[in-house]
Amino acid sequence: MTNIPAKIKKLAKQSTFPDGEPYTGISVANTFNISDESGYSQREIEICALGENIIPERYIRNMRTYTLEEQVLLLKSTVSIIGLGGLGGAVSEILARGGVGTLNIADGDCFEDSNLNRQLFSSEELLEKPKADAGAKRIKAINSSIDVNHFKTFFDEENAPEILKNADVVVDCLDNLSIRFTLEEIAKKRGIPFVSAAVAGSAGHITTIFPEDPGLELIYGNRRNVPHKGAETSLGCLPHTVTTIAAIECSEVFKVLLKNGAILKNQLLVVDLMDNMIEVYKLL
Amino acid sequence: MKNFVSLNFVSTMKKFMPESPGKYPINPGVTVKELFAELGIPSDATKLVFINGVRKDTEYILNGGEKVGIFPPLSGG
Repeated sequence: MTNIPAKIKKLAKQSTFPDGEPYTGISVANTFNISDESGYSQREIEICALGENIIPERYIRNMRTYTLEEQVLLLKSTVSIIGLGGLGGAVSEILARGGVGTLNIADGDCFEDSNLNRQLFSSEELLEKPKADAGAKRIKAINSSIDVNHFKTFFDEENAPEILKNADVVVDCLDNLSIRFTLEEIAKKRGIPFVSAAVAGSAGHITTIFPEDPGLELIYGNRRNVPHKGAETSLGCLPHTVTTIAAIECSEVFKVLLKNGAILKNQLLVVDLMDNMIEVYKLL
Repeated sequence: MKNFVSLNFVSTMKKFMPESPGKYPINPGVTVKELFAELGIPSDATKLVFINGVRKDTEYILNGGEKVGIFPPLSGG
């Protein structure tokens, strides 16, 4: 990578933040060009640029809240997203735009009509097509610097090592209770922080579980007695609720990856949009 | 002597909401489980109860003045 910094500097341009402060940036098109010429991936070019104090323009609106070093950390991070429905589609899209470098995405389902109200990867032309294929294509279209490993399979103990490979965080975007407990158990065994959320109607909740935490049993009770589904069977899943909750899951993922902010460890953030209620409760 | 608790019902639990949930009369010493029975909430309806913002089990004893949050299990995605 000896001559890459020089190439980046040559193609970089001076610009200013909205408040007038100057920065040096490199465009998406020039990142593509250097990648094509050198054979290094776009992500490697972006990481190299950030090391030279040159900001890839695609992440410029992440800056000032995040530092260049933090953007590098995001680009070097891996997140596994389990379930690509309402939560998983929005979570994948947000993490890809934010610049989380590797996304492992898994769902064995195909899109059906009832998904169209809320699942961002779904569209009329993709009905009956695998969600994981649609997700990989969409993520690449948003940010081709991201490495996507997609799995057209439902998460289970057997495929867990592949789906959770190198994961710094795993995001629970599942839609039933029994498999959530299995995912939690495996994430804990592998020492991976676990962001979990669930929705029904206008309500939802989010928590972040570390390997040492009691976790889901504090929300749902003993694993052996939990029902398969919750209140969503009678209330459905609304597009604005599921997207709100997905965004809060991503907020937790970014904070865990960057080790900043207040994390919902042993806490439950509860939202009910019908009442404009957002509250954080202590689970311990 | 009656004291009062403030009840906050979320999502599907709202169907059990009494009149004046913000000032619901209780006999001091009553457990959450007994309060649930009085409100017609089945014992298996939820495990998630918060007293003054902290998760407690249904054996928790209420004395009055507490804020009680009652949540159903959600699992949609």
